[in-house]
Amino acid sequence: MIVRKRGLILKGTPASPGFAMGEARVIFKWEQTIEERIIPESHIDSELSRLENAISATLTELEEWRESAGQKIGGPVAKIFDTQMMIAADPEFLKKVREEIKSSCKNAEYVYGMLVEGIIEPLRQSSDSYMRQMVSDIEAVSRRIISHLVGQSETHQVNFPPDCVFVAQEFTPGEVLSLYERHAAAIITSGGSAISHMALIARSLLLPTVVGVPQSILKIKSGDRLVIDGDNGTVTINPPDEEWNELRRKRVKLTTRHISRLQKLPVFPPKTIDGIEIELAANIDLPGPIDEILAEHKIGVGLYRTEFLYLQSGNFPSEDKQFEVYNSVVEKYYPRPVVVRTFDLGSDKYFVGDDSRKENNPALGWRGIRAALDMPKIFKDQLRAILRASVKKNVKILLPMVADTSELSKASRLIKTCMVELYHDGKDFDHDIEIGVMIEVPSAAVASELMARKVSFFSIGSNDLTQYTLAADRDNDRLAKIFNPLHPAVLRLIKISIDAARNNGIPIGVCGEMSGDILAMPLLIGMGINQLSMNPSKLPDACRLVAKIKYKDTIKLADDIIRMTSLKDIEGRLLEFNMSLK
Amino acid sequence: MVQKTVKIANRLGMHARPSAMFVSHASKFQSEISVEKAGLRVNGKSIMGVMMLAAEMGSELIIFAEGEDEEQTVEALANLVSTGFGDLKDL
Repeated sequence: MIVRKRGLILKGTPASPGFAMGEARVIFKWEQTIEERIIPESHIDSELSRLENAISATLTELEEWRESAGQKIGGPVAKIFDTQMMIAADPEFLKKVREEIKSSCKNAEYVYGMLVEGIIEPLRQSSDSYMRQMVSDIEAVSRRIISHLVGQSETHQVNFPPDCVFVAQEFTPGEVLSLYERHAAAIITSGGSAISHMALIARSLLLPTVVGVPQSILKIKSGDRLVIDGDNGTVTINPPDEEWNELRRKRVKLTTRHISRLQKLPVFPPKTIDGIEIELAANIDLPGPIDEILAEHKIGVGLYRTEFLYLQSGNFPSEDKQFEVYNSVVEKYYPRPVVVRTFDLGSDKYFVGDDSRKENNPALGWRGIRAALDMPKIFKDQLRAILRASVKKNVKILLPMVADTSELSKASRLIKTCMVELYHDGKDFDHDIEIGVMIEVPSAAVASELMARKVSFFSIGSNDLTQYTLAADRDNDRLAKIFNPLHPAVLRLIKISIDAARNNGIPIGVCGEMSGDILAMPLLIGMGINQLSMNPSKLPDACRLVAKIKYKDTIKLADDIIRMTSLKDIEGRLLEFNMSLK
Repeated sequence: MVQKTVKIANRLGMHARPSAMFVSHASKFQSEISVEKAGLRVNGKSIMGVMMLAAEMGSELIIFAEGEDEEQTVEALANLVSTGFGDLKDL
């Protein structure tokens, strides 16, 4: 996706992918000041019953959100609301609030707000992001209780036209759910983090979201036209009219929500004009409503990321728990294949707040298969869980960050051991399960011929392959011009890997952002990639694109491009190809 | 009164969900329960209290219980914390 850089562009942290455009609605929640009043002793009882009413109203709301989240997203995510309900009903805390109301003779909202502040303030100071996340959980609840007390309607009760982009300092998980139900186009927050519960909900709902956009509530005014790129975390304010209209014309379908777009997905699998079927697949992480839609369209999973299991709890769930999660996903997609990638985490994720184990350069550090092989017990739990979910033979195992064939051999041995153990435990699994490697470290691409002999498939992780090949951190703004998967060097590594796969008769896919890029897709197809796995939000456009191209033309295109020496020429040729499509 | 000192074992510390899990376990016992970290002592059946401890990985907690089932209470809760909240049930 190319958003031309005109108009004011703000950069934040991508929290939920997808592209959206719409009119801004800025919500100033923190303007709500709480009045301090003296309550005459004779009115204390009615003040206490006001408090009880506000709490039970809040509990009812949370219960409704929990149910709605359960239906739309699924059990695990809905548990966020269980925690919030516990906070709302905390008996010890409410006892303190009641006592303070009685002894100070102050109004309920004031006392409640003050006591909550006493709990939150020290947490705000914490250097640990997971601890600070608790502040959002508590505030989500206290704001509801207080607005019930002051009788103020909140964001989710006010009427908005559809396709608005909501901007606030922060939103609660419940608010995100309500905004989604009322056809929000996207969400922007000035605070928050990508690991917050609110971001988790937004991702599950495929609602494009950018968090941590500095000064967004000051720079964006209600009514501004916004273009949101949830993949890169950028927000463009008031792009020039012609650009806005062009985007609108081209992308008009993108302003309606992704799920409904997916439901209206064209014929799947798509065929090129000259009748070649192109295999598209989805990248997924959290279980969500998207699974049913994808399964209904018989779309398989080219990359099932499992890191969220760890990131959500800070723990590796047991084999049984993992089995439950994998199995439910695998069953949903049956008979389509699900490629499960084993944990791809690094020291920056494992040791949050533990400086002694901090690495200077986590991207080049102890991560992916390296970490997994160093923690065989944890790795085996995951492998056993994946194997147990493979009974119906629609599961494949994908190993991340493999840089050397010895890592592959070690992992394969571990998988064999797990199989033997499972066999002795009387547990069933797919004895012929396919094992593949990610081609994302340049050494793996260069030596792909050696790897191809030992595995059943390749999957190119174009994001990491690009960042490692060009030594350019993809999150570093200053390097944005350097980081580009279309660089001739990256394309050459991809070509080497494709040739190795072909020579050894194994399929090769791409599962990085590149595979969902409308410009890069024809090139990848022409180069001989067998499967393009992408964020589900990109699938509708990808299907349409495939139906517009001739396979024969893409081969010519790939041939031309692999000879080109500059990135500029390559991009120009791809753009020209794209423009020539009708 | 029984007490036991434990170390937070899970890497992300006692954030929202481990706190919720601790409190829902604690609430199953009859005993009065309190938890102390670095001199700050809170009610072990209060999620707001437990969250307030902001107990990061490696920090020490003292769990106190008083009541008929105090032994089991302390044992069960200490076990929960030191095993890194076992299977976080919510995922």
